[in-house]
Amino acid sequence: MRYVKHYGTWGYILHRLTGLALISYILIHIYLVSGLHNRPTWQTEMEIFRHPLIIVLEWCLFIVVIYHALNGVRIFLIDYFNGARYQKQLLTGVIALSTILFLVMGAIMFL
Amino acid sequence: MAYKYEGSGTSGTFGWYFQRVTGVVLFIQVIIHFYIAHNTWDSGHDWATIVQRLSDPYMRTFYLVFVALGLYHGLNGLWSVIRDYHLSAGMRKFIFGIIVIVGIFIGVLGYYTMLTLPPTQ
Repeated sequence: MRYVKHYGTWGYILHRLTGLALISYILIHIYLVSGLHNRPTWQTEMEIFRHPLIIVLEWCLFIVVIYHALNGVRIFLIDYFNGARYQKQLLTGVIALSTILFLVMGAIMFL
Repeated sequence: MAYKYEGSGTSGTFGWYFQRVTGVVLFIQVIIHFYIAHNTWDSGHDWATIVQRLSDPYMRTFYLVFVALGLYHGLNGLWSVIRDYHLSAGMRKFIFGIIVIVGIFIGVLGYYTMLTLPPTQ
């Protein structure tokens, strides 16, 4: 779909992309957690999560969740609290806060 | 008439509203889930720790709600993305059917996992 891309449109596009990433993740996540039924299977499964690449992907998952959650709050404010007046400032806030939390989480995880 | 209109003016209102309601609940739940699962390495990866946690009635209720709302919110979101594209009525029905089947399959799998956990010795 082609739209004129205003600043807020990027908020919408990112919300969709992160949403699609999250539903894909949730389906895989619930499937993998069903491995709890068999203890040895679970333990082999969990060894994957020690791999550095997976840990970096988990860090990326964090910003995907945080952006979607915070932008969800922005959508809520737009729909119920006259947030449409401040939607651009709110988007800047969402992006700034997501980035800060992403970096803080990176520091917690890797430092 | 070439103009084909699906549903009345108020159809989809519930879906729109419930997407916001589930979104607010999931916002709180995902923070709790993240804290619980990543508090220590064991809290998210050790078999006995997780099974013991999911055996607690409050935690189990929390996760039964979390799975239901998360799947609903996610798949409803996916469905609303797909509805934005000009697909034929048959194609829409086909995709909707796949979404419902995947939702039921993964939902049942999630519930089955939590409700039939083996005991931790």
